[in-house]
Amino acid sequence: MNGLLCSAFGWLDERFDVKGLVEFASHKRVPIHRGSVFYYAGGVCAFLFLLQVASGILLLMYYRVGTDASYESVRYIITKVPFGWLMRSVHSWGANLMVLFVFIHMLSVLFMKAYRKPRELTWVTGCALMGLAMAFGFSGYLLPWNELAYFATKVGTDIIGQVPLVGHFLLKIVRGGEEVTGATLSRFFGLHVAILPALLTSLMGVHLLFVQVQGMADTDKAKKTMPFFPNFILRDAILWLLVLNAVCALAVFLPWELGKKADALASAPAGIKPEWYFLAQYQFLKILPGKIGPVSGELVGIGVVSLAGLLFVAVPFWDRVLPEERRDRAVNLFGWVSLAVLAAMTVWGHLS
Amino acid sequence: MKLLAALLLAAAPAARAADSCVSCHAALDERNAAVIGSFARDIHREKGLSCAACHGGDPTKEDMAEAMDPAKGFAGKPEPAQMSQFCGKCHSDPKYMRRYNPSLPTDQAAKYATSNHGLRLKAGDTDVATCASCHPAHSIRPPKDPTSSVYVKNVPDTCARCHADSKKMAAHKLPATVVAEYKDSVHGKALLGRGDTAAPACNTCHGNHGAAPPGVAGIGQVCGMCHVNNMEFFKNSPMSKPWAKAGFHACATCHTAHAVQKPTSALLAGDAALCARCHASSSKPRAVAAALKAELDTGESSYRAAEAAIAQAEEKGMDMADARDALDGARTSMYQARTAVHTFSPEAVAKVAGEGKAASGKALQAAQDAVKDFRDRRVGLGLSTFVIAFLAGALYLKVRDLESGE
Repeated sequence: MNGLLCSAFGWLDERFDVKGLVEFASHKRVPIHRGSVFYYAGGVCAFLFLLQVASGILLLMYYRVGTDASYESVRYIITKVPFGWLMRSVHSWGANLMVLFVFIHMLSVLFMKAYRKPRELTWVTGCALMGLAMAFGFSGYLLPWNELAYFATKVGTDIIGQVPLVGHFLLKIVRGGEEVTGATLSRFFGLHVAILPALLTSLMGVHLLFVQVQGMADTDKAKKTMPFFPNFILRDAILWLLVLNAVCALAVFLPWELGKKADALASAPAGIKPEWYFLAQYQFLKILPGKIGPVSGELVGIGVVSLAGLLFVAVPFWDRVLPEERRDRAVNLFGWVSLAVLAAMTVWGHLS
Repeated sequence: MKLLAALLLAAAPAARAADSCVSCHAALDERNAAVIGSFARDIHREKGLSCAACHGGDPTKEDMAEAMDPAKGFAGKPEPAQMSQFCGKCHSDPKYMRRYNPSLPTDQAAKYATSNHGLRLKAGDTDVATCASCHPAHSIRPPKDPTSSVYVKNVPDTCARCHADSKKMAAHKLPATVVAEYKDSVHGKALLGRGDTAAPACNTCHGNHGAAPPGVAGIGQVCGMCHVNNMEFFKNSPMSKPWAKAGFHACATCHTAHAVQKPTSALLAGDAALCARCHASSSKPRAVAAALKAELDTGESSYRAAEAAIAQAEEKGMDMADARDALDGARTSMYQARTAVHTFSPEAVAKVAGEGKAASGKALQAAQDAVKDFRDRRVGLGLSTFVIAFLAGALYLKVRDLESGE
């Protein structure tokens, strides 16, 4: 057996220089310091994405898109298909955990200043991946075509319509018409299972390539390191197993509810809110007055949220122009204020 | 107030020409000004009719004697005895009414003449309801307008103005409790509590303009307008003829006329049994009643058991949509079984209640399966946790082994 493996390895090595890759991996080292634990967040994001792909493919075997089929097919999946309930709940919980870990990963990179030269593009691709993860969540939320999803999508897409000049045009593109209908469902499905996976996979490839080429940022100038392969990978694997177990436990004890089928003619149920990762932005837009000066409050809100997002993505570029002695402090302040505002708005949105 | 009333009326779309009725009466006193003000929202005004359309006279004349000249048709304020003819001038004229509302009936005055109100009025009793008692003069709204005194949800209070007045009712030897009884009944709670406008108000059973108690012969028919099957079953039951012979009200004898409560099987047997009023405890009818009660009770208890099991499964997060569908079927069957009680046939009730019990059984089984499935899931999770913990432990040992050598 070993002989067979060796000859297969030799065959591959002859063609693809696998030994070179192994050599590269064995020389790569991961710094050990008090913040090292956050290095694992990125790996968990990647693992959860793979879990989403796997559970998503299984769901796709039974899911049918359409206003007269989506809800029914999801109900069929969770009640009739063997382990369908598990796949659906794993997919829903996995999506939420993935967004959570993306946030943790981004914030840890921000506070560790790991985005600084030469990793500016790694940061930018990471921000784009976060946007894609949220787009995944938004598009996937509608697919069961239930009441909550329908009205949350209606509210969410309404915001797009507020964008100046092109808002209505964008709204029609996103919805496939004036209202949230079967056309919206079809394009959200296409987005969720074809366009976004292709974009995210490609971008994640680029992001991981950058990480591998540049290595982990050692901003603490750690004295100790560990080999990336196999030590760090094995530690990563332990965490992945624990996360998998946590997702399964959530699926068993808190299975994701399906609720009532969407009915466009019914009145919106009380307390319609978007998913938790959009709640802060939603609450912010909600508390703004109808008019701020001559401009609509919602438009000002969209502007502020967009500007804050842009500021976040551009951290590596405005950070370098600050005086060196104040640089860390300014970024920390920016990070903590952003985190506090996001957390406060999310809690407020949840309670109101 | 006076100015506002005059302005309101002047702003109405129709009759923009000078109307001496409005200008004079708005300036007379508060009461007259209020009448003018409320008339601005009256359906007649909205349709373009002025004061003179009902009261006659010539509103183009500024002089009071000329404006209110009987020679020009001035009729003034009608006496109660003349009220139905006064309104009937237009409302009994199909040709005239077609202009404004072709679907509005024109038999109100004729019906009123047959009502208890109309008959008493004809006999010289002027303390009876006339048109304006229910349709307040000068502020009449169509019956479908929620602000109308005759909007379905407002009808009980409109009737209550007289029928809950114990002094007024005592003079007519009528009870003043009927509206209170109705409000506390299953019908009153449905209409006024839940806002179900399909539920009956006073006029549904008594009629609108021809208001009168349905009477012994009619009461079954009246209840049967909504409770169709109940009436049919009862009519074909062995109870029908003896009851008619004894002069019993078909429905009200057991259910009462106004204080109708949600029926329970306790009406059939036990301490509160209605059957016991007439039938001896050892008689065959009492045995039939006990059999009917047993069918309803067992159906009800199997329904409740299934409902509790479904709630338990749902608490654990299990999807119970199919079980809920089965339970809905069971509930429908149990309604039908309660209706079938009016056949007084235990076999007929057992057939329908049996379908309900079968549906409840199916729902119960689905719920129990779901709870078992939930337990199985926990066992599965426990096993997978064990495997994952083993793998994680093995990896940890491997990492420790690797790092101890460094």
